[in-house]
Amino acid sequence: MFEAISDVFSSKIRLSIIAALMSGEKDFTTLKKIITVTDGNLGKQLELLEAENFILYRRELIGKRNRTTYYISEHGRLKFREYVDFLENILSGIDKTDLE
Amino acid sequence: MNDDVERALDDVSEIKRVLAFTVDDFSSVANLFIVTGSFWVVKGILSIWNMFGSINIIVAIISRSISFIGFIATLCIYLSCRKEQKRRAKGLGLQLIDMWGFLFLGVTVYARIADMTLLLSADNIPQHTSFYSIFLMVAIPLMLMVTGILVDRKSPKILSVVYIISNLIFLAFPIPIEYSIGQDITLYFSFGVVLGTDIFPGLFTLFLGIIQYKTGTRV
Repeated sequence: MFEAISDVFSSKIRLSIIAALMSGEKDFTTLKKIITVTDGNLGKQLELLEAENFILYRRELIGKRNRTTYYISEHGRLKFREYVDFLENILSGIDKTDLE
Repeated sequence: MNDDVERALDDVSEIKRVLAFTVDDFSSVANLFIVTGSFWVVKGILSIWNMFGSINIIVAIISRSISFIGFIATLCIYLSCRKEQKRRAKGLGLQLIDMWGFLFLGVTVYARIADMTLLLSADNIPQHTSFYSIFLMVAIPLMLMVTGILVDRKSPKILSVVYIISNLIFLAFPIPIEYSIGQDITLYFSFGVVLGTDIFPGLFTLFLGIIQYKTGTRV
């Protein structure tokens, strides 16, 4: 069933990034704190999400340092909702005894 | 249980974990308001008790002890809430904790230092009390208004307006009361000023805490 839905959510890290951005924009450090992942891995997943148009970013100069803030795109928001509905459908179709 | 269900459950629990980190939950911040407000109100009631008739030394000692315990309790809750909010990367909760924590701890430290200084000269007590009361009359509604804007809720803004109106009523109709501090020295205070030093700040802080606790979470 999961093959039918977007491949973006096949990674736990990407799913966590989108879930974190649903409550508002976050900078790189905050995302790293929430998701507990290495800089390199997080950067790679963010690039992928950006390429898929799930997230957008803006760069600001704070003092002498650059700060990149990420936020979810309309497309990303829609896809996340679709994915949550998809999960709901899977889970509503099973008996509670199956969970034990 | 098939693989799809297992993966769906995994994903749901991951989404729930992330949301728990990112949703602004003000119910833990509410503890700071409830505890500080309660101590402030109790101290205020004890102070007013001592204003009628002669000073009861036991009430005075309890009042001082309550003030000290309240300060320690506020400091402990402030530090534990701050640590919790920082760990969870919640910017707004952290801002609220810092803003109110500095006010609560700052005014208590100021009041104690002023008390020690004023013990040497009783004549300055009314001026000090008035200054303290006027400072809180401006600071508390301002903080309530800022809190209302930050958490995007009407209730703190309404509390701010009610606070200003309550204080203005007592300023417009001052009720003078006598306060004997012993050794035949009697001071005269406005009842509004007395209410403004502990009771009003305490009550409104308590109300804010109860509102935050009940309405707790905001996405």
